[in-house]
Amino acid sequence: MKQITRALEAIGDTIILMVRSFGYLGSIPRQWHRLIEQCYLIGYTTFPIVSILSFFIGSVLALQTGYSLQGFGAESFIGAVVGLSMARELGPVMVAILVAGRVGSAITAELASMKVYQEVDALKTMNIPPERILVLPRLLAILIMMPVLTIIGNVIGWFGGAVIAQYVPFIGTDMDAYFQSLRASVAFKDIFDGLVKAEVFGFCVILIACNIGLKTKGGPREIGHSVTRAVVVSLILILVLDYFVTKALL
Amino acid sequence: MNTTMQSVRVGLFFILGVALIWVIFEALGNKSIFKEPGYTLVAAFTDVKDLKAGDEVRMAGVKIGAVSSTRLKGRTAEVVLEIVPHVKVASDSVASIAMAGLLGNHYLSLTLGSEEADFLSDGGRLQSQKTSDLNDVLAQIGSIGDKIETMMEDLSSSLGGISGGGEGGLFSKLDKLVDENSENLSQTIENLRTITDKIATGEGTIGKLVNDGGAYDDLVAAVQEIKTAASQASKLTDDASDIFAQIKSGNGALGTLIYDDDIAQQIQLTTTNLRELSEKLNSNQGTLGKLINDDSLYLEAKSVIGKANRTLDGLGDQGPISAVGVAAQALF
Repeated sequence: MKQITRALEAIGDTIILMVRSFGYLGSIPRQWHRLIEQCYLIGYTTFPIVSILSFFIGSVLALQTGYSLQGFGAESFIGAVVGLSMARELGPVMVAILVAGRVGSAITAELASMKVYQEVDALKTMNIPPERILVLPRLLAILIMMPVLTIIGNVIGWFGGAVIAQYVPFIGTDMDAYFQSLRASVAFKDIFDGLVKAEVFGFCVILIACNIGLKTKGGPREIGHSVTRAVVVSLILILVLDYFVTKALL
Repeated sequence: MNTTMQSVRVGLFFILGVALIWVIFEALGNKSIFKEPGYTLVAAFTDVKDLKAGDEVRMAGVKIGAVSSTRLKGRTAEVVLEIVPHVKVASDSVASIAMAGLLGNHYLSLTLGSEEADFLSDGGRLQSQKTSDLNDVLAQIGSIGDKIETMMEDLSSSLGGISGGGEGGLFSKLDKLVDENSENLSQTIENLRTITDKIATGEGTIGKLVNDGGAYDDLVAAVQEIKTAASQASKLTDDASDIFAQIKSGNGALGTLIYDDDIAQQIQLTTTNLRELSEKLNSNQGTLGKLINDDSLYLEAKSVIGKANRTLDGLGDQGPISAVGVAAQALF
């Protein structure tokens, strides 16, 4: 019972935080530099790890598909399989998980320490709502950066698959055939659905990270707990939401 | 870090992302992000096979919409199609379920229909046509296989005995026939060989015919003669037909004989007379009759001749005087 109450409380807090934050949307022009800074931290600095991960995800996907399909002589479908998997599922989910691990944890840690060391209270004392300068720029930044990260991840993943399809001897599909198959199967709607999913995941991850960070109570030990909790909740939520968002978009 | 530098990097990064999205949007042919609301059509089939919601609807191979649902209605299965708004479907367009690939995915194929036909509106019903899919083809191949099997069984039972078994098989019958008649057969073959040997060595008629060049010449000559005879015969028949024609036309003696009634009557009269004459002759009537039937005349004549003989002998002895005397005696 207590667990359920706490879960409901967390959901309510998160929604209230979101609503309050967007209530300060008019203040964005005045804190443009904060938005840019968050974009830089969330997007630009995450780009290398997204690239590496996507490349290998695409490669492994092509390798596994090629290995499985070689028994049917259907290697020409690798392009379609990798293209659709990356665009619809793996691209958004992997980027969201990376964001949860790399950015979400950092945000929780930062806000939790600000809370624990009463910086947030100081802001409130100065009549500066923490939602306005701490949460809103991050939420907007993730909304701006998530599609960019996802599309880059998709393209790099496709390219990784193409490299594997061409250079692994038992697959031996050339890049032209691979991309032909990919183009024939992937519609722009698939990409768009993937971007919508990524947007939803990213937004939820950052919102949860901010909420858990700002709700941290106690000392430095609680900072660690909050980070762990934020990451775990984010990961679970990404996978749960994945099902519902995918179903809604079909 | 310099704030300006940070902004530049974020800006570049963002532009990169947007550019990528745009490039992909251009590169992928299918540019619809949201489904265009179209109009629906219904096609009824006896079997919709593997067709399911989301499968393509193609007219003459061009995608014009998608299957929105399949449902059962009474004894038919109905397919509800959603067609894009700018494509008009003719009312005589025929729907059929076609296979998109060997993996078993299907699409609904529509024909163009005729130009003068009206267009179907929302909720319109399409004509449908049953198409045979892989299963039907396989079933047909199966039935063909069965027929071939039956045929081969018949053949093998009629040829039974190839492997020594099967009473009444063709081969076993042949086998039996050969076994039973082997002596006769070998005798026949022996005879045949003798005959062919003779022919080869030029013995006998056929042998000579085969080996002797002269026989051929004779044959040719014989044929030539037969030819000549035949031509003569034909000439003869021509002549005969001429004669018959003459007879028919009543010319000549025969013609008159056959076709002239007077002659016939005369002949009849003549034969009657002849019969009467012969009857008289037979019945000792008249001089001739008596001459023929009565021996007394003959005997008298014989004695007269005998007397004359003797008289002549006596005359011979008397010489010329006697001769005069005889003559006088005869005269007086």
